[in-house]
Amino acid sequence: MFGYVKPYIPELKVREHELYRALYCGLCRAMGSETGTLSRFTLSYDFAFLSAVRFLATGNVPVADKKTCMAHPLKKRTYIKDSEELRYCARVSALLTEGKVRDDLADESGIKKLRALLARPEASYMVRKAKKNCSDSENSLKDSINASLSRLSELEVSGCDSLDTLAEVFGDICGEFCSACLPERESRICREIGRGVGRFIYVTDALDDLRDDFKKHRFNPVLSLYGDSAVEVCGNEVYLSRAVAESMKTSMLLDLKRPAASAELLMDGGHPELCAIVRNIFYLGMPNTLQETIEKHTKKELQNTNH
Amino acid sequence: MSKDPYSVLGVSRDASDAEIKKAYRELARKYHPDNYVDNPLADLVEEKMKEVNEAYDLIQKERASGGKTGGSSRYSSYTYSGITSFEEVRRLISEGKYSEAEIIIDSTPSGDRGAEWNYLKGALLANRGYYYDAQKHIETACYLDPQNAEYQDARNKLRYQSGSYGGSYRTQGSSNSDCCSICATFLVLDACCDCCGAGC
Repeated sequence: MFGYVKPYIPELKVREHELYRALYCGLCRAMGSETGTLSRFTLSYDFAFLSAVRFLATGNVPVADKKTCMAHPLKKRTYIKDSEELRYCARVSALLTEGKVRDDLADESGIKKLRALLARPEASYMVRKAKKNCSDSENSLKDSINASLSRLSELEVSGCDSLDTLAEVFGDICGEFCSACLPERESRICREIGRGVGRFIYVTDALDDLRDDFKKHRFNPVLSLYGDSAVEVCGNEVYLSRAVAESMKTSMLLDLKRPAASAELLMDGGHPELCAIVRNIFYLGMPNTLQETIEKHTKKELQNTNH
Repeated sequence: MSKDPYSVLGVSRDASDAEIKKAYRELARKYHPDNYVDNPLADLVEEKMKEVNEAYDLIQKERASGGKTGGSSRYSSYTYSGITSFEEVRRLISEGKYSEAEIIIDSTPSGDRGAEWNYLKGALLANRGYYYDAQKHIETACYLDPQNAEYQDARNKLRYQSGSYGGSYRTQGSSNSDCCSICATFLVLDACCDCCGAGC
């Protein structure tokens, strides 16, 4: 989706990193068979994270195997073999991609609209193919996701100035699809994880788009909350204000506490490498992504010179 | 409760209304349940808070001689006299009646939304987990009233709680310190062995 939810690789053990890569490859294969070859282009880190969570929730052990990969033909790659957890992620990914395409078609113009137009038939195909293996609760997902996306749209159009209210709607969408088709206890836990991670994605995306949205006078959730104090104008260039960036960091870490604590509930006796990956993503990966996003958009500090 | 309400609040019988309010505020702040969340004495503090609230109510009732704005009414019938006073809100908060407190806060006209309004709004938001909005409001309160210790405290509290995110995971992360302490222990043990002359 956005690629914000990923591990901080330098702190992963080698075997944890290998498992993570294998999940990613396994997801790619699952998307190929579940939602069509072209859907593999929408493969994302975010869904690799979801697949790790789903494996922890079901308690199934990911089984690895080696095969040649089309995209990396030189050496056989380790991938996680066909499993319901990966197939589920593939189907949800297709659903969200279709939603995004439809959104872009309605909201964007120019080249983005053209891209959306071209992507539409493929997105529809992905969803139709996915439908074959959907359970009933999955089918109702589509409607509830669409309803929530409409609500989000309404709030944005009305210029809502509560970042939490907006982030919560998006978070609820993620909570929905993280928690579907699981036994009650795991479903409740995954819903909290989904909500928190969804809020994180929404806010990080808002920060990423802030400068552009400001220049083009478009609605931006962070801009709406903080107003003009969110930007620093320096000559011709507009930057994200450092003060607001620091505030956002504080709030975001507070906001991540609940989903992180929820994830810990899945880890009792869980597969050790999967637990390590999920912990890394929560405590190192996501804060790191936030930091990277902030660095990207704030003014570089001037170097001190010695004279 | 047979205690004299004035002595509970620590004021004299002919203290002014402003002094009574001030005394109440200070006690409410001191015994606020938030400060005692994990404290085994929380129930005792709760009792004390109740005592303070009752004393304040009693004094208000005694002094109410009509025409008093925002007297002892506890709920949304709070009449707005244009004087910025959030006693009602603070009292509701200390009693855990957060949604009622929020109703009053949200109905405050925009002209009266100063530092204290922002602080209380921020506190209520933080209480229900709306951290982004809470942070913004508390910072606004600090910005509008930089000398106020209460608002600074709130901001520091948020920062402190945020800094403890992933606490034990992050400290366990580096195993270097563990190795060092293990090595150090062996060194000491080794030295001890030699000292004893036993030679291992």
